[in-house]
Amino acid sequence: MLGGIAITGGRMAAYDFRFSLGALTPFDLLDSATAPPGRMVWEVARRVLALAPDADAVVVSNPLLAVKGKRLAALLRDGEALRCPAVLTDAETFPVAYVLPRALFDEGLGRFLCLLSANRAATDAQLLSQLTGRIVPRRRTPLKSVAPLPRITAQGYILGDNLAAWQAQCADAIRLIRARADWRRLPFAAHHPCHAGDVLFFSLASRLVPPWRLAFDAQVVCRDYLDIFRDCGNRLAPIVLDIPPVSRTGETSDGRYFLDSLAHIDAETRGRTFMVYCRFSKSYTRSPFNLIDQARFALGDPVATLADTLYHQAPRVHSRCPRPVRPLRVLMQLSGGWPLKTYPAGDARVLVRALICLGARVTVLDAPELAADGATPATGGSTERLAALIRDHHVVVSVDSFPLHFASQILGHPTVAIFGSTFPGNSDAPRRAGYRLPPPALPCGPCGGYKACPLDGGPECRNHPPPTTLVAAILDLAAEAYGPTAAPTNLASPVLAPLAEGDAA
Amino acid sequence: MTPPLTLRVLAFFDARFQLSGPLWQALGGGDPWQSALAAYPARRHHSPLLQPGKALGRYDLADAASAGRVVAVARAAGIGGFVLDCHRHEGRYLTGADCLDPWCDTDFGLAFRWTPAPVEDAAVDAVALMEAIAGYSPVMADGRPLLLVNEPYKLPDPAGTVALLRQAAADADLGPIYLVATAAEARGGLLDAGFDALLDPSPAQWRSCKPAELLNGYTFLQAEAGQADAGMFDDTIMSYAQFVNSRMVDRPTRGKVFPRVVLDYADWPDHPQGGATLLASTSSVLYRRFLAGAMVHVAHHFPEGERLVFIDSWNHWRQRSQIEPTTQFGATVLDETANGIRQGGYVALTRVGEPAPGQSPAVDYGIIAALCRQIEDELSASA
Repeated sequence: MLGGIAITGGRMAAYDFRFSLGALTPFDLLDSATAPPGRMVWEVARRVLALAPDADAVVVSNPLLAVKGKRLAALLRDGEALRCPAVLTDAETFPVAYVLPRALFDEGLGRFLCLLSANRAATDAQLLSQLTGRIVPRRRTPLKSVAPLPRITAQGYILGDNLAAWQAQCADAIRLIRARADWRRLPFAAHHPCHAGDVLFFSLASRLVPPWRLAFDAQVVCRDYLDIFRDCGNRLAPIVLDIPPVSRTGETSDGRYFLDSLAHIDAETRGRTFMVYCRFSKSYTRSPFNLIDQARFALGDPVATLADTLYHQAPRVHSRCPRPVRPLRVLMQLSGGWPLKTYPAGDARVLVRALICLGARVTVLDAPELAADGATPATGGSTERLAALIRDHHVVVSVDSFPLHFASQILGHPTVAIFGSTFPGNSDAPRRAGYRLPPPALPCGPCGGYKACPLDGGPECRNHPPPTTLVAAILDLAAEAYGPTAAPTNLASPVLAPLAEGDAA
Repeated sequence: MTPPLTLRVLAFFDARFQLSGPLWQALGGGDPWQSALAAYPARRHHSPLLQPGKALGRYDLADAASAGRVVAVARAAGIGGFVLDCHRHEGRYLTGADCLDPWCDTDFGLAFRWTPAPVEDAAVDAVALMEAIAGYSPVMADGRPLLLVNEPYKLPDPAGTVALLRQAAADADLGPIYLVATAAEARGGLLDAGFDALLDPSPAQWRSCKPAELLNGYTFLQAEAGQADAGMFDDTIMSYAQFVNSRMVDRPTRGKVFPRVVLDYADWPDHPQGGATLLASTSSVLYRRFLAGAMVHVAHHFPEGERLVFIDSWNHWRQRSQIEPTTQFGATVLDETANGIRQGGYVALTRVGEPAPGQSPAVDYGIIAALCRQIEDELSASA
């Protein structure tokens, strides 16, 4: 729950908002892992003002604490007379809630709330002071000190280095407002520089946010992913980061990477841009929503109803392989961003061999060992090269990785999605002709496992669909996309290829 | 574009928690809460029963306001109806539905579960059963009122019983009814006998899982020496994670079987001398995923109008499977239920209408399966 209060002529009306686990009503917030806590403050203020249009001020609880509306009202009544604007704190310096004047929103400054640190009352008070041109006091509530903070809050916020990242973005913004008279017109940049899939999701999201909702003008992106940024049609201006992407092993946290990366952005750009930390504030698997919708929310779109979500959008792109439908050409990506995403090696061999027995030609990306089973190894490389490879094949089969999202969401090519340890709802594509998602059978996903299955400790995820299901889905999809002649003719009498020498290894 | 989703989550409900009325009298009066909760663990692996929390307390369903509160809390969590047991008493059946029915409508209905027992005249019994369940706001499946048949393997002639039930329903103005039998998979002829669908058995009825605690000679010697609890030999203890996975793995191959989602299960109060079934290491988070996964499965594989998921249970306190608020854990489980229903509903909504692999007429799934098996065999033989 996230409390909000409308103050109208001294009277308070309390509201409670939920981090949605599926429903989207005026009281449900799309739970976005890429939205910083300040974005939630802005959204709640927006919703409260929609519910109480005559309100003079709104009070929004800090998303990291998420105090309910009634409790918040009680805290407000307990202390001294309320001033607006103000930052309410616990017994020490942790911000509990923000008292925001209506004028802040009337003047179109709501998006600046994305810059709140949400963990240092003094910094947040300074930011609000700069925005409103008034002295913003910090007022203590009867709430005891919340320190020491947990690593993950009850609402799922990951603290740790993220606290410093949110503080840095807030402090930078204060400096910028002080230094620039034209600060109201300066661009906002979403700091979401990696990885390939995430850059793709943000790029698609930037295209889906209506122009009047888009709060951002630029996105920080690693040079390694600049081709993705461009080829996916990102509407934001790129701010190129010339350092390697953050490692997925967790050695460097997203928050630490943000802090380090600021030094690699040229001073001139930093001197005219508000940087907002948009890497993961939460584990995205807590939310059932697609990462594209989560990114849209982060970029300013409220995605307020189910009709606004990605799954209700009609398909916009459509691609088909121009080659003759026989032999059926299948492109596979069977390894993902981390070990547990990889399709089990034994099943991969069966899958490749079965397709070849049925007369298909199989190309595998980043899996040279499958050449022994008759597949042709290939490397994707740039998005241009990958797009050409995809268009040269009738069907793409991929685990939850960049080629899957690129083929299905950017090109609209016939695609079979393989999900095992990750949650399909976070990153699959909307239903359309030419897309198949064989459902993972077990309810253990998303497990958060990286190298080993948390249930049995094994190195492979047993939640991946079996080869039989995948072969059926590929043939079914081929028939749907290219007509019944695309299905192999030798289905009734498949020819088993002999095992190559050394297969026993 | 995604079509709207019709999917209903039902919870098994014990209507005996009332302090007056025909059902209470038929069951011998007394305090039903006392009867349900007066059991104390005799073994160290028996978890104690939980106590009703403040939110609903020890309610009396005969009190209209209390019954209304129970229904309101269930509705708020996203539950779409209760399944009540039919209790046989002196030639007729009592359900307790009259307490709940005033609070039901098209969004929240009542379904019934009947456990067959030997009777002199099955036709008369079927008429009595239909009389007991007619006239209430029904949960509909495929446009027909829903009746669950528990322990169908006790029926000497399933097809004959189905025919009797359908005839009795028609005579009682219930119209055609939707009959569901408790069975794990669509083999064994129950669907051929005329049942419309099946429902996962309860943990005690279906023991396909490997017990978490495997017995060995050493444990036996320990028990003999009084160093281990001999009850471990008699009770079946299952790891919750394995239990959940076994319920959901390869689910489509089991046929038209509605999922039964279970938070916890421990029927030791009714098996004090051993023979109880217990779930170990239960997890409300895994329960939420179980529920959401079941909803997605049903949305994906069942026709519109027949999309049902069953939660076992709303208030079976004596089996420790209740999802009602408790003194010990508050509304945590109920909140997880609501979250699971919201999450499952949303995800199912994004998946409904998606073609299911293996169901396309263009592809012969059997041939592909045989081919893959053959390749697997060859690869393993060469390894």
